[in-house]
Amino acid sequence: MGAMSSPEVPVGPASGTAVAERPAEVVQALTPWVTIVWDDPVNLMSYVTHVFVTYFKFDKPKAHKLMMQVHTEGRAVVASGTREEMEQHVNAMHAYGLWATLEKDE
Amino acid sequence: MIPFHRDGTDLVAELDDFEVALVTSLVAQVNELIGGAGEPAASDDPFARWARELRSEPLDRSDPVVARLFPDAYEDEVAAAEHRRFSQDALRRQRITDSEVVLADLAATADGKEPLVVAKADLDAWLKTLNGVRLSLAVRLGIESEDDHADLEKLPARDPRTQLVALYDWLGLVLESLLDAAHS
Repeated sequence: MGAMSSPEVPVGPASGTAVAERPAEVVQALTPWVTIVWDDPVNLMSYVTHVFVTYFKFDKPKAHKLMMQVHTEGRAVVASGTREEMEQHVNAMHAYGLWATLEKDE
Repeated sequence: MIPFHRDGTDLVAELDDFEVALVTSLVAQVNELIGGAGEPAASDDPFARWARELRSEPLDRSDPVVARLFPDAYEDEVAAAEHRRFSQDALRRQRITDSEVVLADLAATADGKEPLVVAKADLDAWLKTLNGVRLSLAVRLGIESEDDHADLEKLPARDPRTQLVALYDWLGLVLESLLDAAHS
């Protein structure tokens, strides 16, 4: 849900020493990470919706639905992709004062 | 306060002198807490900016307000600490820059004699800053659930916390008014 982009498989130049490590790296890169926004009693519902629309460019209905999911279920996955991308998203959520974490999608 | 309304691309409200002083003080207090105190507002001086970027005393994370404004990105403590090492300073600088925008707009009202004008480009700086103040007040008031807030609303008037609760609620109205106007 809410995939912002596909996981990127690193395509670096092949060198003798890198070959042995490569399978593990690829598995790592193919494992999607997710950004989770958690419920808190302070952030206004209209504010959370605004953040989802403004930052993730979700349309209003989708932003509202995710906001309600955070509110009623306590958390919602708002994006998935590479670890680096999810770290950027989490940083952005923190800048807005939303409580967000990233984790490997199980 | 006369709530925000849209005027062209600007968002305009009217605050009286007391309200301007109040918001200014709250924003400055949070600013000070995260290491932005004493900086000239929206300075164009490149040296001042450079000096500020060099300054990075560690934040006091034992203060729950600081912990709330800079939450962990990972549930795992080690990963969270590692992430913080690379991201916290940018987040802190952004908060300080945002608060300078707010303080400059408030100063431009000449103690509330002029309307408060928020340019559309500054909307998110305002929202983030007001929300940061609200989060800080919530921590000080111990609001960790919807019930906590409901309980605070029932405090007797003589309780010293009632003023902070009123302030917290009022800031919510200001935020809501800004959002309403922005999305109207």
